[in-house]
Amino acid sequence: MTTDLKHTVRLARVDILLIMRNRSALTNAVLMPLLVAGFLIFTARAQAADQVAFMLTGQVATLALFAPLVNLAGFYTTRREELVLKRLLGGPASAAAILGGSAAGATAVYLVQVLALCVAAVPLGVGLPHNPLLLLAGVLGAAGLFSLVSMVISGFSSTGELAQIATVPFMFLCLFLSPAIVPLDALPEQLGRIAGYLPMTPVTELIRTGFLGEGGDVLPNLGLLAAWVAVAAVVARRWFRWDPRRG
Amino acid sequence: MVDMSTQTMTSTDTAVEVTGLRQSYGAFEAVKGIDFTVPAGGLFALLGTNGAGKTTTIEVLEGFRPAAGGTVRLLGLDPYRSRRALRPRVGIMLQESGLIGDLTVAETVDLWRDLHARPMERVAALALVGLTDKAGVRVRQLSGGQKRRLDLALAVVGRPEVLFLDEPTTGMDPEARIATWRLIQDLVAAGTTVLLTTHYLEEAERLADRVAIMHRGEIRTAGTVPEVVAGHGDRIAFLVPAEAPIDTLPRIDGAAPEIVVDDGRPTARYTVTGGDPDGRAHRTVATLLAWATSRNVTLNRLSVRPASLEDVFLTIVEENR
Repeated sequence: MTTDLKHTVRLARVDILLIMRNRSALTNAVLMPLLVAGFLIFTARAQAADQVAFMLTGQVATLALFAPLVNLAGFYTTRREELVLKRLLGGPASAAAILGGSAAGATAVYLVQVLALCVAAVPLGVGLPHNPLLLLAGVLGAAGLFSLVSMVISGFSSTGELAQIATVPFMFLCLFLSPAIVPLDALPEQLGRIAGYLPMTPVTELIRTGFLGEGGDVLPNLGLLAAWVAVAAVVARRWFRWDPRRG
Repeated sequence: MVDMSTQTMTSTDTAVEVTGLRQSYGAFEAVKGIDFTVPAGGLFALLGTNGAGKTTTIEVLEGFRPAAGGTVRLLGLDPYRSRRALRPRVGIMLQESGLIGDLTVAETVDLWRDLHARPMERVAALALVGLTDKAGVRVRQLSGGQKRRLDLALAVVGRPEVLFLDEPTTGMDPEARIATWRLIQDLVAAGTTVLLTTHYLEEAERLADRVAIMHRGEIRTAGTVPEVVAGHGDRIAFLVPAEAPIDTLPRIDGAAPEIVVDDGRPTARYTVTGGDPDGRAHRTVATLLAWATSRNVTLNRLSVRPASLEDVFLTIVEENR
């Protein structure tokens, strides 16, 4: 294992431990999103089987907005303001390992949540994922993209709480201008066309196709997601800061 | 004694080399072209008022930011460009701790140990800073001084060749401060190069081989402590006698004494400078005793001492106010 990867895994372990130890983080990042997802899927049971499948796969995508975005934006910001990031940067771990460690921890939490929905999909009649690798690609792509977005938002925020609040507009944009909750063709035509290019759309399409075996075209969605990841990486590199905003 | 046996010493004799360093924040020039070197295994103290440019200088040396002007070499390498190569060889104690409050002391040390290639044992690191009995305590429950000690343990756990200590004993009680001084001296004795900043001038006086006093981005004086205080004369002080009003105190070489309040009582202080300092101090004391005898008063707590780093520091600040 390379040194960077070793450091990333070690720091991810710490982050998972801290999420499990912090009741507020555990509730906000792990339990609440699962409860909301469970509620929406349960509500959809009254409708047709394909509605349940649509809602479940949409929730698999939506969960990426919690641990890897909301929670991580708060983590990065709080740690920067408390000089933890700078303290770590003063040690042997590289910047990529430090930021990647937290992102990997959040991704691990997200993966557990996805696994929970995969298990729930069987009794709900949706069945197991049709193409687990594609599903995993969509899930990891979403986690990577939103981790980078959380760095950007952290760069503009002075406290962990403000960072979490600052994720809300982006979250709403992702939820309502994507096929995560409602199909794109249910949106006004122009809006639907724009939504087709926004970051949550390729995430949801890849996850849905991976889970159900039907949905959008894989390659264009992979390309669009990769493009958003590249944009987010450039912006995060420009705007993320290691020094506290205070003072 | 600190076991630094696995540390790899640099082959170069100079651990830190700063030449013409400049650093600005917008229009504000924080560091205005400073030069200094620290030999391998030496302890160099960088002193100065708040905003003097110490932390900026240290941060450039630590590799947190590139030098805007001049050159900086740490163990022969550019600390910003060669961060990856240098970090395993360097220990850093920031001015503020930057610790994760929800981890225990033991978990924190273990995390740092796991990031290093050849770390000390956790037990040894905690024993060095006297935190063995706090291993199971969450970091947020530690006092300010205990957090500084933990921070010091993290800075040394990787057996660094160069150690940056930014105000290491701030918030420590006197016992912990003395223990930390001993640890720093042990580290230097074991071959570690230490670059220290501190507001406690006594700390610098006691620990440093060489010191530099920065003010407004420039080094105003540098050298060994005796070199720095040389030429700043002696200080003669006594409690102002109750029977003698302040304006009746004798002038020495035309200068009235400085009156400071010490333990709630006015104290007269004379600075004796110029050639033949011992002779001048002797003559000044004789003049003062003659004055006291003529007035039939006693000079309580009469003392003569050479200038200290604090005196030099205050002189520099006063001259540039």
